[in-house]
Amino acid sequence: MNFFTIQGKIPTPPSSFFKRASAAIALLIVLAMISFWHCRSAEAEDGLVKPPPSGEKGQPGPILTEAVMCEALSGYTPENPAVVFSVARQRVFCFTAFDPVPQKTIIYHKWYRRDVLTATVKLQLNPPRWVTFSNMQLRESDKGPWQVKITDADGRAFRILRYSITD
Amino acid sequence: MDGFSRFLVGIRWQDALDIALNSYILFRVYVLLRGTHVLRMLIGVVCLWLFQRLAVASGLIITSWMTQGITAVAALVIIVVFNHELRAMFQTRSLKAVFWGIPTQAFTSSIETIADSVFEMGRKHCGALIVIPGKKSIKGYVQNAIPWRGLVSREMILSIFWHNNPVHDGAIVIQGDQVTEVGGILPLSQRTDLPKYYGTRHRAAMGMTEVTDALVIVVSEERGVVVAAKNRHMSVMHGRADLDETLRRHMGVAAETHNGHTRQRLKIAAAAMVSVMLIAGVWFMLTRGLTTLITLEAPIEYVELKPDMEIVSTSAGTVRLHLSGSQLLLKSLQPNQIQVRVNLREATAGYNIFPIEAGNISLPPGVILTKVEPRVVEMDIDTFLTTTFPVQVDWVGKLDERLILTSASPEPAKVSLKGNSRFLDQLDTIYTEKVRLDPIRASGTLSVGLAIGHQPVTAAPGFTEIIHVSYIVNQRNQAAAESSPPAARE
Repeated sequence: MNFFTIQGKIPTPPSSFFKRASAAIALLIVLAMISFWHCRSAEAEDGLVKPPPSGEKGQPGPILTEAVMCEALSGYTPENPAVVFSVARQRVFCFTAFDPVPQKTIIYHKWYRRDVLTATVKLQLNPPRWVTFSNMQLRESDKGPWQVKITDADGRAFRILRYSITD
Repeated sequence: MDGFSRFLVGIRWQDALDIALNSYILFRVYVLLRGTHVLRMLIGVVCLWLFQRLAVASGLIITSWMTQGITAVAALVIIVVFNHELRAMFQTRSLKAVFWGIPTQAFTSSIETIADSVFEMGRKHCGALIVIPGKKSIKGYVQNAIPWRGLVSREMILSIFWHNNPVHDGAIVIQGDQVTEVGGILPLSQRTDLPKYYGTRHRAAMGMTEVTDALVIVVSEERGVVVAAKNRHMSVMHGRADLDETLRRHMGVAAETHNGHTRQRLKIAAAAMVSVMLIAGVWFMLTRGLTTLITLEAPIEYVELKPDMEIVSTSAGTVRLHLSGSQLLLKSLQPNQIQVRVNLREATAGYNIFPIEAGNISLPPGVILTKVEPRVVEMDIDTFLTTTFPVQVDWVGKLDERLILTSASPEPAKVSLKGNSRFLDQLDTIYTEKVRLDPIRASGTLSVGLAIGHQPVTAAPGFTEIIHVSYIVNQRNQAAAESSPPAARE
């Protein structure tokens, strides 16, 4: 069994002006994204950002702005994002950033090895924006193609990240 | 009595038609060949066959083996030896005459014409020599003859033997109702016991009867006497009736008397009866004689499966058929005569049960199905689907420590695969064949096949199984790679 850790952080500045400005920008971004998603919904592709899962009572859900597999994190920033990871690195990270996050939301990082679900990591997103990640300790037997499916509580996928564990 | 009524009820209309048809064929063979050696030979062959069956039944190994060989050869011998007679039989008769009617009319009219002409020539002291072939061929015995092929008529015969006719000294040949040859030279007899008043024509007639079974009619030019020669024997014809009777006997045509007609009809009726009895006997022997039970294993053929379906598994590939029928029929059964077909027109995806009944089984006539095992066949059927899957590159090996593979974009990013639904339902992603990382030193592209191997899927039309991968390689940031993950915080 792989060993997973679940970690999260809200890097929020204390300024109220900055808070209001951020909220306004987030609202604008949400509106722009909604219209964009309306146009693109029919041709939403695997691996791309899909229409945001709605929150409770039909409210807009969080928006995934970044999702990568990486070798490490440095100050909540993914380092060495890649699609191939050596088992010698011992650990691989799935990094996701959401902005905005209208309300507390549960998301999942589902780890698959050759289409077989091996672990599900439950993560909580907090407003107004949030970065979160999960990671996996690597073993010799983990070599092969992997995917991490980032979904909301209802199982709707934000994105699927594909990578390989190699020698 | 009960058995007999059950036997009668068991006769199908096809059986009656079968017997009638073959009886008629046999009867026609008799009608066409009666009076010839061919018929006698055929009867001999049938007797040989019966003898062979008897020998087999009695366990006489060598006798049965020998008679079997002789019977087979005899059938061939008939065709070779009697090819002239067989050819003449079909050449001198129309198609209608082969299949219908009793051929007597043509001979009857020819007989009358020949008899009239001969006696008229006798009265006029006009010499004549007429050859009427019997069962044997006369080919080779009539020399220098001129082909004629004219219908027999009194005027023609008289004109051929008229003194000033260049061919009047030769013999004419009459076959059926035709004068086939004129001016022929016959072999002369070397006999010394012939009367002194017999001339060359008589000697030629005698010579011909010595080597063939033909009837030769001679009209003496000096005395006007009519003589008929056959089988080395000469008879003076005292009147037209004498010649008429001789000709009828030779041609196998009964005299046109009431008794003759009756005898002829009785003979034909008897032949017809014998034909029916023979064929009915053969039919009974084949279909009802020595009822036997056997069990056969027959493969099941599945037909009319919808094009988008596939048989995944079946409970049985063959069925055991319990058959009854005559020993002869069952012994001669060939595998291709038995067909077990299950129609899959109504099949649905998933588990299906199809009964195997008499309607599914095709057997030769006379063979009766008594039991089938198993009575049903269970079948798992799947449908063909076309589904689209994302493509993922399956990297293996070891990438240089100093490098990092930051992205890999397969083209196309998705492929549609066609295959059975159960297999496709298990898939979420289609992987490429393994791509080794060891040789990679810089960004680039490569081509690789899809790892579908022996799976029951193929690329859908418009898609290829070759994927082009564009990949980007960067230098590793060693410091970042060695940093530890951040601590957990809310």
